[in-house]
Amino acid sequence: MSGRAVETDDLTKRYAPDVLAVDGVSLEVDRGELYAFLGLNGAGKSTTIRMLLGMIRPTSGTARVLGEPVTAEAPGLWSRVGHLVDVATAYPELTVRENLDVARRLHRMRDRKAVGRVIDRLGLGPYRDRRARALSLGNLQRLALARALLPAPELLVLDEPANGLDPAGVVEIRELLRELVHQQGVTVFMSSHILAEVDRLATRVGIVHRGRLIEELDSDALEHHRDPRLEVDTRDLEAAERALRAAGRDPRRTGTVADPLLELRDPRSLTAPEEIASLLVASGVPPVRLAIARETLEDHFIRLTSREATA
Amino acid sequence: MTGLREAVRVELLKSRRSRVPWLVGAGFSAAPLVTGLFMVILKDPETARRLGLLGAKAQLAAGTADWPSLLSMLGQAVAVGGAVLFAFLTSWIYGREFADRTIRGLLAVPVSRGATVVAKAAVVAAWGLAIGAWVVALGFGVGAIVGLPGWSGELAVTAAWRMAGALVLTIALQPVTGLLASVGRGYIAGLAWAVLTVAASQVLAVLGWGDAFPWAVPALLAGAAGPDAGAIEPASVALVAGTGALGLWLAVRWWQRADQAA
Repeated sequence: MSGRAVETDDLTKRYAPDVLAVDGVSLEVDRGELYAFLGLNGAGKSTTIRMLLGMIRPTSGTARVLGEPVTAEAPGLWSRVGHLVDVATAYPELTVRENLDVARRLHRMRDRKAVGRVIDRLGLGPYRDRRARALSLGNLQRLALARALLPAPELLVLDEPANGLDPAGVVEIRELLRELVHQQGVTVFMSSHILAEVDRLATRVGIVHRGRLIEELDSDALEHHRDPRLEVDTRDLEAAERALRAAGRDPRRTGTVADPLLELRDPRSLTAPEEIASLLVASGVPPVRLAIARETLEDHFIRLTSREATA
Repeated sequence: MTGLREAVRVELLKSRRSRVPWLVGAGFSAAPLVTGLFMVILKDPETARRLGLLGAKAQLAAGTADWPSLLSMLGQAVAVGGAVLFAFLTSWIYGREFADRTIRGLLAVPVSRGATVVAKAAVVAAWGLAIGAWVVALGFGVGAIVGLPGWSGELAVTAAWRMAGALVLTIALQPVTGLLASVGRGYIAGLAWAVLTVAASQVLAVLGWGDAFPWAVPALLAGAAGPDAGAIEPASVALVAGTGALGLWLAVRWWQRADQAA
């Protein structure tokens, strides 16, 4: 077991001269991490995931998975990887058990009992002999996840794993992924639109926008974003910033280009925001807004992508 | 070509559970049954006259109610029916992976893409041979039930070999249909190709160029494509085999190299 779980260098995919889907993405995911890959629709997430799985050939750049270069035909590598790409699909004429048996054979696994175990693990027992065409969207998604987990992979690559699941199903999958990462050391590389779930699960987050990786947040940065802060808005931010610094505080510029703010994170400002109000009034720059905020990953993502959109 | 055995088992399971191969078999069974119906009509002119137009058409197509006529009609039906229905089966076996978006499950797995493509061709061949054997046997059974005159062992063996040869050559060409269904990412391209090649075969055979067009060769062998009936050279068989092999190689290469973004 050598090398990182996922490693890309300047990975680029151009579908046509004017269609650049992925633009020089370089990232590294260590073993045992849960790396969340976030982006708006069309940002390049699925194309990147498909390049990691050898389904799409990069225009330039390289990708390595579990220490091996990604190629379409790499039996040794793909026996260690489970994947769920985009919308869950299954052979409609086959039952849940038969669909998983197909996956077992394609993974060249001799252990027939693995199918029963993964059926139980994903709560598909009542549906084992039901044809896939008769499954609900949620159970189809469970089947696709079961297929990804079947080979007991070292790396799970999941594109929107919570698609179609009800709230209880989302929590169940979250706990399953947490167990896989923390107790079994599986590496998970996933994209998701459900940012609240990602916020709770991910050890690292990469944000992709218009094909480019625009930010990576490690667990410290994610925690930092969750910390409370005092947001201050005035009609003259520069004057307010000077006044606060003169008073020994440490304001920082934040917000969007269109709606800039100052933020304070020191404990005194958070416990006594009225002092800040008095200070700004006394300095001639009274606050038009003063609020304690706690930024979620969703807030951060929206702010970042809207800033990029206006840039 | 890692995992060919597993790939074949997977493809057999999928095809066995699907209605499509069974529908193809049922549809192909109509060929000997309709041929038998014509023989019944021709055998009894009174009934034929009472049926009016149908009786007249049957007389035009087959002439007389005997074993040589039945086996000649059956040969034509096997050649044309096989070309269309086996292309339908092949288009489904390859194209359904794209139409149902199940292709993703066949990628990034230890069984190689080449093995999957070859397994699909093998399963098409297995179904084609089974359906073809059933149709030919049904044709002989229908002839026996109708009680036609003119039977001879030599005639039966010659006709059976010609029909078997036509079926095998038709099956050998199916990888090209599989390639087109893959490149077209669905059923339509393969089916359109089948219709085009059947039409082109008829025209080229009439013009005397049938032995140089791979898709006309099975029909020539079965006597369904004009005046050159039954006269094919080893070079024509080699042409068919080469075309099928090239189609299979190109299909494997396409699966290995094309982007799968669906």
